[in-house]
Amino acid sequence: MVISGLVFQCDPTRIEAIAAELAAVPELSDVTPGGEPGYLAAVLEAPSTEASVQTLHRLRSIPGVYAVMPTYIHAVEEDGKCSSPAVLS
Amino acid sequence: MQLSRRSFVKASALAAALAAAGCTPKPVAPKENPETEGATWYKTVCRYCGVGCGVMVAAKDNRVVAVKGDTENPVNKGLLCVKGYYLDRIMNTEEGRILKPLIRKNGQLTEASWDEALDLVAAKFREAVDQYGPDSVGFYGSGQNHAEETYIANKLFKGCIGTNNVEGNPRTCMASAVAGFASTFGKDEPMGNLDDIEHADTFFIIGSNTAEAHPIVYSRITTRKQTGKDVKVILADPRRHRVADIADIFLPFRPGSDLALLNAFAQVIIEEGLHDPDFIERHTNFQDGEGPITFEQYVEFLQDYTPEKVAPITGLSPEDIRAAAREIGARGRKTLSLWCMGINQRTVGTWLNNAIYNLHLLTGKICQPGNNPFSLTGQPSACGSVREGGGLAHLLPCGRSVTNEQHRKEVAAVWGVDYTRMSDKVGYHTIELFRAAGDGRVKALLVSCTNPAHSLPNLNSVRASCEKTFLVVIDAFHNRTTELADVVLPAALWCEKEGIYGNTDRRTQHMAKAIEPKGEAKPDVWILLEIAKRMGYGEYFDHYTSNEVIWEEFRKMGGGNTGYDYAPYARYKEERGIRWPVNDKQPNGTGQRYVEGDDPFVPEGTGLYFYGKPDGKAVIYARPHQDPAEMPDDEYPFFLSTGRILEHWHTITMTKRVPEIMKGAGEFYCEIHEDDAARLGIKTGDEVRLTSRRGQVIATARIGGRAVPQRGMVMLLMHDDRIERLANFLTNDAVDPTSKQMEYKICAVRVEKA
Repeated sequence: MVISGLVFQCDPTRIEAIAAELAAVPELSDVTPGGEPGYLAAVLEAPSTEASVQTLHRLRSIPGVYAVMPTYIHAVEEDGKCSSPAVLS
Repeated sequence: MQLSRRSFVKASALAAALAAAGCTPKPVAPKENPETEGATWYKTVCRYCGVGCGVMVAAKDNRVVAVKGDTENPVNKGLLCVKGYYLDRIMNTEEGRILKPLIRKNGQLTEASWDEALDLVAAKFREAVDQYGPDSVGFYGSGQNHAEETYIANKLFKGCIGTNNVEGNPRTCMASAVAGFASTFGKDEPMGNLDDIEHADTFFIIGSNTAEAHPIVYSRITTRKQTGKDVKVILADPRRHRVADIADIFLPFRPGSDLALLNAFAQVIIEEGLHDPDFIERHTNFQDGEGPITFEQYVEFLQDYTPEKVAPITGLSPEDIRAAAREIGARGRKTLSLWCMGINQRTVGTWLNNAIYNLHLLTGKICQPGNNPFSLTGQPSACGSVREGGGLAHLLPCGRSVTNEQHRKEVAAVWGVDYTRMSDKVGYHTIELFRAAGDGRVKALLVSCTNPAHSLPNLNSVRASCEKTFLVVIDAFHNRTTELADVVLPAALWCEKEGIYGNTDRRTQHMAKAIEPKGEAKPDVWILLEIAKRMGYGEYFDHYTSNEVIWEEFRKMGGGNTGYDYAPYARYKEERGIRWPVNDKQPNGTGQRYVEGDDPFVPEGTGLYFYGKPDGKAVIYARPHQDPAEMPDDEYPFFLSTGRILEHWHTITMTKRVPEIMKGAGEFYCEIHEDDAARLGIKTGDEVRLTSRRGQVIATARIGGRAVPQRGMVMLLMHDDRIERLANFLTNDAVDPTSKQMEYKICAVRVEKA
């Protein structure tokens, strides 16, 4: 399982619709408004790093989403141990 | 609070994201990350583009165990793009790594000892120089070389061998920016810096897909757009890409018509009185191709570029052109212009750079936070190593010229060589260097940290040349150039060595060594020094016992009236970069060049002074529109442009080693407008054959997606390294007559379903 923290920069006038769309993405949780207009934070859980990159690509194509920046990525094995090198911020 | 491992990681992820999104996160748990326990953290800079994002690397047991954005680095404030956060992958793989020196024997690259390989290289170069003269050899370096590497190569070839055949791949990406800065201001590199983003009211972005090519810059722009009051974005680009998503005005001009468009902006600015006559009078002169002209003559020149006259050239409406010009020139608003390869990789690249500066000089919107023209660079140290280090055929360190006797004397004095040994003749520019390698003028060519047999235009010609000359390649990974080499020398990669990078906004940064090189790889500096010594120049190189010694010698090239000045090496190791010039008068570096009180080279009492010019005045050039070197016709009816995507970098020598990126974004494609695709019966995923006057490639069609070219245009990603899909078999090696930069961005092709 790969867990990533994501920052979304979005069109502030469409932020509610975008947040609703993100909330419906199965791999995303904790969709939270950021401190500035147009910002959202969320957690992405994907079965592999490959899948997380593919999901990132898909999220970037959502209308009104200008940028998706990963700030944290971490691989966790099912037994709770860590695997690949961590990328933190 | 009890947290499971997964919950802890999730909470940490959310906390990090919230912090970056502007919220103050609550601490999730007082717990150390087990991977980084006992690891040592090193401060470095991202290996990829020219933005210069700060990166922290954790190493343990000679292995990179973690990478994170450097929250203390003002460039990226902790953010990294997807390439940056998988940097650990390129460090921890041996797939494709060159681990031992290789010599071609009986047609095959065969493992050899360092002594055998270096002796062979030195002997071949020595033989060529002795038999055919200094100009029979050459060096082709990189904007990814450390400053110290370029310095040593430059001294070896220009100072000791006596040839100016020293080039670098910044010729392919930044030469027109250099020529533009030099002709308009008399000095290279921008006056402003990336912090202008947070002060700008209007962004004018032209010829740059900032969202994909410079994602952290784009992130700062979107932040400014969202948090500033009435911030506007104007995008001018033949292709609708992701920057258009935030654009208030989008100008999809016809490929190659941008010089007419920029002239139209100038015409509207003056016609509507948005120019600043006082600034123009005090700080500018006017010229055309023949020599000095008056303001009135410039205005007369612009009458050929009214919006009504330019509309049919560009395919835009006069109203849209006027609206953009009014926004760019609006009084009381700060305008930041940003551009990149769409402007530079053109046969009129220098003139396009001039024309952008014109807008800022006419309006006086320059040398103030938020008010500047700012050229974005593609490579991490194109500025620091090659432009400032003088790693091109016409340059010497710190803005000096090979044709200037005084400059040669100054450089020779620092190098400790006889200046009469240095050539006063400009060396071969990149395209000519490879032609010379093909026709026998250049017998031996040393390539460092770049992949010209993939990246140069008109590849059939380049690859044939590589096979004819004695080709030596210093690199970390195998690529399309190493396969043609006679000798391959394994180079240390990124945090396997230390050194200096200089980014797009004059920020000089130190990169720490965190781990030992893989296999028998060595730092490029070590390799270059060994070649120099084995060629018989040891007395000039023996004293370089560390990177610091090299840097401190390079620093002596600055000061005086050069406009360049750097800090001691030790400071860069401690600080998050310093923008040059930096000296006793300005110990924390320079924010805005040419401004008294900020730039230490500005004479007292002048306020604003473009000291690169004898009278302190910048030049506004009348630059007429010209068509690209090759235009579509009946046989080749499409414009072709090439470019890249966020996840990959250039010839994917590094990013193809990241499985996550390859699986997530491993499809390299050719974008086609849906109307053209329908007419040709092409669907997304179909194989198409692209043919130009120079070659043919196969590509996978993409209709719609993250970017859409206009009708009559296709855009091919430059990344794919499969031989039948190398984009540069198609591209044109016609060069800008001033900058000698190639016109990658426009040529004519035929498109067929394969």
